[in-house]
Amino acid sequence: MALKKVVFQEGNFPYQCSGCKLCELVCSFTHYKIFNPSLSRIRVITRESELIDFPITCKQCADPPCHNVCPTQAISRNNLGVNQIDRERCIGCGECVSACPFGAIYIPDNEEIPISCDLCGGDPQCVHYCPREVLIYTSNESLARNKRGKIIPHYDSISQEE
Amino acid sequence: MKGGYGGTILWVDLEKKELVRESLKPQLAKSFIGGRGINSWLLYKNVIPKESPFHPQNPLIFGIGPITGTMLPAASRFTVTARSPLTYGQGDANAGGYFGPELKFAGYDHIVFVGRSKSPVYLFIENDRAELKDANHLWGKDTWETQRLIREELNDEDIQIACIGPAGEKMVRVACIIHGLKRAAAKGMGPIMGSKNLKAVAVRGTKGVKVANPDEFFHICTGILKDYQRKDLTLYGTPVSLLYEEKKGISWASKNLQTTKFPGLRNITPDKFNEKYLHHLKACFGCSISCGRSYKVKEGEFKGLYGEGPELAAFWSWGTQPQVDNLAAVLKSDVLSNQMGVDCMETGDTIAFAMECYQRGILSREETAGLELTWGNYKTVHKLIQQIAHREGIGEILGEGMRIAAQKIGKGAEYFSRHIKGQSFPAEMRVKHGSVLGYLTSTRGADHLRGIAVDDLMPIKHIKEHFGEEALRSNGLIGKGMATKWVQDMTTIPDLLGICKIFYVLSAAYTEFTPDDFARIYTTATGMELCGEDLLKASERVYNVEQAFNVKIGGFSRKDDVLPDRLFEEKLDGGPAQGKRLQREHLEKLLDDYYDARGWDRLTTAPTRKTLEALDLKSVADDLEKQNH
Repeated sequence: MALKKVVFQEGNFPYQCSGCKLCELVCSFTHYKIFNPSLSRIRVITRESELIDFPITCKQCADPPCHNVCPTQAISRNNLGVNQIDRERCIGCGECVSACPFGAIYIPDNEEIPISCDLCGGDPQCVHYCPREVLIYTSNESLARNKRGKIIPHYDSISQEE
Repeated sequence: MKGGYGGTILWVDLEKKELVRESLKPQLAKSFIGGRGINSWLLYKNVIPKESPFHPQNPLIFGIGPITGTMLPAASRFTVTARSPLTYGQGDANAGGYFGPELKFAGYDHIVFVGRSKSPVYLFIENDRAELKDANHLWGKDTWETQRLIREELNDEDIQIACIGPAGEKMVRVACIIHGLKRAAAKGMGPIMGSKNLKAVAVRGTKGVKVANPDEFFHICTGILKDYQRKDLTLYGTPVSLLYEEKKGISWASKNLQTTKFPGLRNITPDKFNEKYLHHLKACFGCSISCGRSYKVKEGEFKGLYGEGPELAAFWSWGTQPQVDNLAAVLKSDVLSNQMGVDCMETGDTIAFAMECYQRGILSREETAGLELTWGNYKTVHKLIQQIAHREGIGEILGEGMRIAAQKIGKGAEYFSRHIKGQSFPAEMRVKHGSVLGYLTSTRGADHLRGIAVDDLMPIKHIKEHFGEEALRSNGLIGKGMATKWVQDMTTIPDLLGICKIFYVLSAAYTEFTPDDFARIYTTATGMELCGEDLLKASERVYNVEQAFNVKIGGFSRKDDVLPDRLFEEKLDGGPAQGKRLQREHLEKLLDDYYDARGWDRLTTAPTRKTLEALDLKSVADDLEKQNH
């Protein structure tokens, strides 16, 4: 079976990211029993003056830069396909943080080891509790398949216009 | 306190540039819970009596509640408290967004500012580190630019900021404090911040918040997330009520309350807004309802305009009151008021009042320097917002707020001003006795959020059961006092916990969440045992401290619990209550009923010793007694 990941996919209003950051709270609670966005593995970028709310989490790249740059080979994939960080090997150098194009892996304040999405062991909690349903747990393949399904009515409306 | 609280009160002396940390004492938390409650107590204890609200040693207090920043939906609120320069009594204002939670994540519950800085400064808090920074380069900047510049110079986009604009700096009474694009704390808090030369409070916190019983707390949160929704609020936000008004063909806030008719309303309803200008859904921190929205104007006169909101009150102020039916122009007013840092309500109300004065020849074209204050003239509205913020032209007078502006204009203008204790009210009151009583007896002057009408929102069954048949009738006279007291205490609870009143009380019609529900939330978060009755009692305690402040410091008594003559003399011209006006003897009966329910003296409106002692406020009773001798 194809590997799944947390994907951000907006629908029509009001199925949009509202910047409520409940995903961050659920994530930090699930992992640390504390409500703290600064410990969340999914982060919502809120830029009010640009009218942007945009969640970012690990994309589970096929050729992950974070793995490639790690000087101690501390990052590997687990059976879900997500980062597994070997606490013994990791030296906290932050090369992975520099390498990730999304800022999806980072070392929180006062911590030494980087964190990134672990899919909560296969049942990502942010997806459960996103009130606007813009986070989906899916594979690249089924994401595309769903899109293909949704595009059909759109084609209908285009052909009617013509 | 095992969780919930940040644990620290930060005292900032702006004159001596001294910052002192004090641990939050469990006894204080137990008595006043947090947020508005502890703020009000700190104001009561630290106010400088017999001096102006602008006296440098008078405190300006920021506070959040024990639930703020947790995963309980809509736990985003912060309260700002000071003696109000509009009412001269209790002043406090509450706002959402991200500021409150960030303050909690930095480990604080309250910040108390005293003194006046010699030159402009802002406070920067990063977890345990707090420092005053120079703000000379920010002085004169609007609220959006101020926040951008602070984030730029501190090189952190996640810093949350509450600041004043040009209006607050110039101590314009209708100024407010702005966080983000539109979250506002008004009620005279802007000019108090300006009087201290304090431009902004900037916060970054990475410590998070723990709760005492994590699993049970999480269970409560997820239950609310799954079970409680208000689709109409998600789709249209607070302006949703305009849709209902439009359907009925009435406007409850129009032409300075001269009429209920505003045909142009159909052009500025929230469905039209969604159709034309909606950009995306916008929530406060942790809110699953998300009643906010952002907008962008893509063409026409206001092309390029963007912002967040506007809330119902802004639609009243910039749309229905001045009878502006151009939606993009309404949005322009909204943006201007937020950037300049003026309260959309008090400012919009005062502008509508000025327009009526102009209509009646009380304000002449000479006095407005050629500006035509005609109904529907949005260019004038835009100009007036600027003039008020910069104390220019007629704005110098209007910026003083409805009461003082009417006194300064004279020539009978006072008849047309509508305020209670110097705080304006935005909408019609001749319809329901419940709203009248709630507005009249709110501790911060006229207020639609502190004791909104029982007869407006609460389910019929609930009113009947608790307050009797007559409380149900919109012009009933018995049971309204008790009902209003209960409603005021209920609306106080979210202010104490630091959660959203719209979410938990108003949209929930007072019944979806019970005092016991709130108590369970509090206890699971903090580990401090409490039942619903205790929480209501804490609300009552806070309300009585605020009332004691109003009597002792504000000098209020029964003579101040009055409405403008107009509402007794002129009849409503439309709607279901057409032809109605208020009766003075009814009002007197309602007030007696209310004071009795509260245990306040019918003449002085001071809480009696018996009332105060039952609330463990013996020291307050002693204070009030001392004053009388």
